[in-house]
Amino acid sequence: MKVISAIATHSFREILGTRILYSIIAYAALVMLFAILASQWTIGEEVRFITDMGLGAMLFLGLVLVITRGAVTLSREIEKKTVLVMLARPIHRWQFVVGNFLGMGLVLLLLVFSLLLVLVLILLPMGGAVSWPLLGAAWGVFLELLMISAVALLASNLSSPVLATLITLLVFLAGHMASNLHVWISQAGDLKDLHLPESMLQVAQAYQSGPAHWFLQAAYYLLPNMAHVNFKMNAADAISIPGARLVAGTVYAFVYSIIATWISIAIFGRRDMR
Amino acid sequence: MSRITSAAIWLAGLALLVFGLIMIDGRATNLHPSADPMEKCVELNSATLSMLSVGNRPLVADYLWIDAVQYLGKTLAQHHHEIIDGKVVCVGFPAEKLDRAAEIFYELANRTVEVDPHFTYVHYMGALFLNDPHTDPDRAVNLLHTGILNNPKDWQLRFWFAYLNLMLKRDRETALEHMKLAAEMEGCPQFVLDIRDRLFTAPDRQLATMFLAGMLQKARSEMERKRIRQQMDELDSGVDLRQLLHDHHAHDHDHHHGHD
Repeated sequence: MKVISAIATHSFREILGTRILYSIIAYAALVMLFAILASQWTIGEEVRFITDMGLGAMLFLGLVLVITRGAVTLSREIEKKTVLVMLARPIHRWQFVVGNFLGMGLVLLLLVFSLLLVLVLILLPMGGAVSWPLLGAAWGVFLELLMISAVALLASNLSSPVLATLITLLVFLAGHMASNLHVWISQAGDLKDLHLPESMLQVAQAYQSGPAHWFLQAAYYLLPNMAHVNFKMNAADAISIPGARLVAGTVYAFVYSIIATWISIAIFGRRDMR
Repeated sequence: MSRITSAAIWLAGLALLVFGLIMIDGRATNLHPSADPMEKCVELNSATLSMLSVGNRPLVADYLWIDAVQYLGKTLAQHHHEIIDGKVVCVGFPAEKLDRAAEIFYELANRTVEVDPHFTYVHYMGALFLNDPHTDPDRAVNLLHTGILNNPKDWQLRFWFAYLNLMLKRDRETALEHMKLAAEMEGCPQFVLDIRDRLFTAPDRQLATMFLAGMLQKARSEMERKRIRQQMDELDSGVDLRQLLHDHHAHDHDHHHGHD
């Protein structure tokens, strides 16, 4: 445990010293700029607009951090063998992976918390308030980033920096469409509710059974379903998040991240570093 | 060449390129076949927009609402009516184009609430601007009706829906039904209860003034306040604009037929 916390702290400090500060400054500048513009663009909905912009920017900056740190730096370390310096010490490979994941998780938590603070400081003078839906939405952003950082870690174990970045981005995008995929393949889902064009409807109906159905079903469980942790709509419309949904989303995100890290450990453990 | 001179040349070149890009963009936008907001808003349906939003549906709704607001600013919000020698004179935006403008705004507002059905302000504000004697009153009523279906616990939507049913449809029963429901909801102010109690006793014009005064009290933006005041002024003028316009149209129609 001591080893893991030492690696996590090392990873946390390493990231903290570099990008996080710039991210916060960039975020604050972006949101403030939009705060000024918002009063001219919208009528009576400035607080909502800033909240949506803030949460969107929070996710975007987090994603940039996950990709630059998780997908690029780690895979580069593995590719250039600099990781061997760390592994030369008396630590297990699984401890290295878990430590890195925890360090990243800590950084993401700090990033989301800091950005939430900036957002609240901008919202308060405009008549906004610190509400449970807003806090829940920020927690959802953290969970989303946690899942994607686990995917980035896995991708960095599997491939080169460029490919790892591409995989992470694709999983992020596909994860946001996973709920649509679920409706497509679900027998109970009424496809007509999706307002799909006739041609797409026919394609969707073809995937209702047979091997194609099972393939899509597997793809669905492979992807992180971001809809489970997406509470931005609740924050925008000031609708309370049901406790069960929040808990289910949190558990789902943690279990998904653990599974992805588990696979990372297995791959990293068997990897030939020479 | 000094570093300052080369930096100045580099900056000037960049500025020239940016200027050129802006000019080309302006020309290209004018040449674009979907410059009409009506066409633009039907390019992508709400399901596609939601899917492309990467988990940021509220942001997409905000963008669509901003689009609607900008269109609103150019059209409906600019115009008001004046009555000169018993004739309704439309100021700020051509009356003959108002119904088309209202149709476009209605589509934009509908697209917004399809992406985010709980964006109540769009239903409320949209209906306020669509309530114009030159345009089809059903659009305002429909937008509020969708709003109530999506947000049954919002007192403000029911209050406004009751007003439109009373003033446009002359349907006092439906108005009372929604006023009763609005009065039971959380955060409902006292004036809703007062109006509800007087719905069958007070004259229409007095009720309308009470409704608009209540809305003015809860208005969130200057544009909203301006619009409500305009409607109050129209009410104070003592002329039923819808009836007057209807009479004029009927008169014009008879006149044309007479010539035939």
